[in-house]
Amino acid sequence: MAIRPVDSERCIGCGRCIRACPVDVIRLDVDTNKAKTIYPEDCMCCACCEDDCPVGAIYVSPEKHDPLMVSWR
Amino acid sequence: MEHMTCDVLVIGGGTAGCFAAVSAKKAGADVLVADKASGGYAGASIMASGFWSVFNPDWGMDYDATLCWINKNSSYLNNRDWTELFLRESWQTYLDLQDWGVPFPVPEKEIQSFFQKSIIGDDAAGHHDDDPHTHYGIVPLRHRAVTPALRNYAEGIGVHFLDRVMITDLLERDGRVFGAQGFPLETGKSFVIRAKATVLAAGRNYFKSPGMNISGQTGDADAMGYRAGAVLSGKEFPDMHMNIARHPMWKGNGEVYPAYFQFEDAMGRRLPNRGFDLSLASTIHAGYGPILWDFGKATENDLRAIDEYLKKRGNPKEIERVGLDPRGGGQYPMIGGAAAGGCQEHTAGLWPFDTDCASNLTGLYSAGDSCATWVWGAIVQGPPPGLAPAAITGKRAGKAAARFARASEAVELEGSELGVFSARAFRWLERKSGYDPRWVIQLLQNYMMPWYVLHIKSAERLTSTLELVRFLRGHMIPRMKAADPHELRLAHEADNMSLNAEMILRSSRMREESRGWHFREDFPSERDEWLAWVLIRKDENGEMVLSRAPVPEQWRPSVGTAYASRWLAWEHPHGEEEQKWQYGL
Repeated sequence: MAIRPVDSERCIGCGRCIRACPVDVIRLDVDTNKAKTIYPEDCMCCACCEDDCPVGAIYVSPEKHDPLMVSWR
Repeated sequence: MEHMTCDVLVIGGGTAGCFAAVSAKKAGADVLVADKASGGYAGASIMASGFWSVFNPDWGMDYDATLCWINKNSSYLNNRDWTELFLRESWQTYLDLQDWGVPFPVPEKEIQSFFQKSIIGDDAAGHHDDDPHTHYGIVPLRHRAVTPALRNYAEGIGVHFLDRVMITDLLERDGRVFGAQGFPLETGKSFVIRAKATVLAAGRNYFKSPGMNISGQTGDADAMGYRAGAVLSGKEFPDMHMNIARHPMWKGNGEVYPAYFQFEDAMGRRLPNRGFDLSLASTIHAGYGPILWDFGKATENDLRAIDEYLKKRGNPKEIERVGLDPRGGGQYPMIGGAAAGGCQEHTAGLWPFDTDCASNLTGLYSAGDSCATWVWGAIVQGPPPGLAPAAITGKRAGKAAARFARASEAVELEGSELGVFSARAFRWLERKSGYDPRWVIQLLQNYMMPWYVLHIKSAERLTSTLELVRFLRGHMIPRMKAADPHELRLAHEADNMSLNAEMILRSSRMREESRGWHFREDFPSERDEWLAWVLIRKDENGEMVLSRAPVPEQWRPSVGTAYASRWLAWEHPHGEEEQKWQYGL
């Protein structure tokens, strides 16, 4: 769905993907110092993170399937 | 709680925000730029891969002819003061970009011939007494290259950026704005910025198609301006950008789209005017969808133009991303994409009470798409509309804000004020349960985005949709539950978008005519009494009230002039003429 999990083998923790994301999908995992997709359901497929990643650790698929959404939580 | 102070606070770090910040800094102010994502990398700037419009007499352009052309093309709803400011100041903003290190894909001496060869393509053949490309210049940009460079330059001269801070509301007392309140997305702690002057530069509101996630463009500036008591305008004119259905956030459209305009309906008929107007929604409405971008009909000349275009400007990764293969002759279904549901560039936003972008609130200015300059009036079929006016308004607002800050004292928060502001900002975090903000946003998209609400309008449908939006605002918005600061941002966005929805629906219902990209089935023609702008504000009881500000007498067309010569510019059919095309199929 949209952004795929960040390849942690490749990720160097530079934070450019976090800076590039307009909708706060990616955060830096403080334990591993690597980027992590925390809110992939909010990815809008702009792929700016993929474009800015210097090591090819991110892939954003244009395929997008929203999970079934329930009104009340 | 974090507390900061500055002379000038700029909310939004896109083109307008960066220009405002640089201009305020150069005028001696201490400047903060707050962005809910990262300044220079967010908002509309991620899609700003198009063009910078310029007017330059040295390129053979005539001031009066261009002004007259824009007036016609604007259906005479342009604010001529701002149109003239575009003519006088756009070239300098382009020089600013050069000075500040923005890279350009096409050398300056080749810019005009580049367009003759590629962008005009077959459209240029044979006609055009009214050719727009003799009236203004179009500087091609490289995808995502402008605002990062602007931020870089701004930081270099000492502008401070606050990234990932969601601003929720302006601090306002008795008509004086003195900063803003929000929270960082990581911590969700209250964050107060007291500023002597504030510039709202946080762009437009897009709803986007159902099933598509929203971007950062959720009308936050217009919503917080409205809540603080600002006068707004321009909400009834929708944006018409479209994009490839397979990838509605595709960024290559600014790079390929202008080179090849073969958009056609299901019957294989080509849409007029490059598909960049109501013809798309009208075709769907008439039952002749889908709209296909058909490369099967490309001639060898077209393909050469596309090749040329891609060589200079293309982003190979974006082409690969959607599997676009012009020479393969494919057909690509089009939809309202990344910009869907927005209002026109520089039409909607805070009403500027002077040419320094001052609002009716003391200490509050607006810039870019948050400022209703009406520079292009009812239609954006003229110069590529967004970026140069964003820079012009940014520069003027930033300078005026710095001047205001220099002459004024800082305002302190009083007594319980902070508690009141905070209670509003964090109310959705404190609930035990409630509606999911994402679900509320999806509802809103489904209300607002169908073409029969936003593009092909009627009083009945606008009223019905308004009822639904009013219910959503009254019942669901107060009962949302945010689990964390990320969702708190979504909750604020849902609130802001729904407020913008109400403004759009009310303004659309009030304007009982069709003009430019505002189309009413029940009032399909222009009406001279609607040579007027709709103003929106909140009254003392908190109710939304709309009023009408007539276009000044000296800016109106001569009513006795024949329909075609009054309204038609370039190849675009308006109103009655457009109707004939839509329903005469």
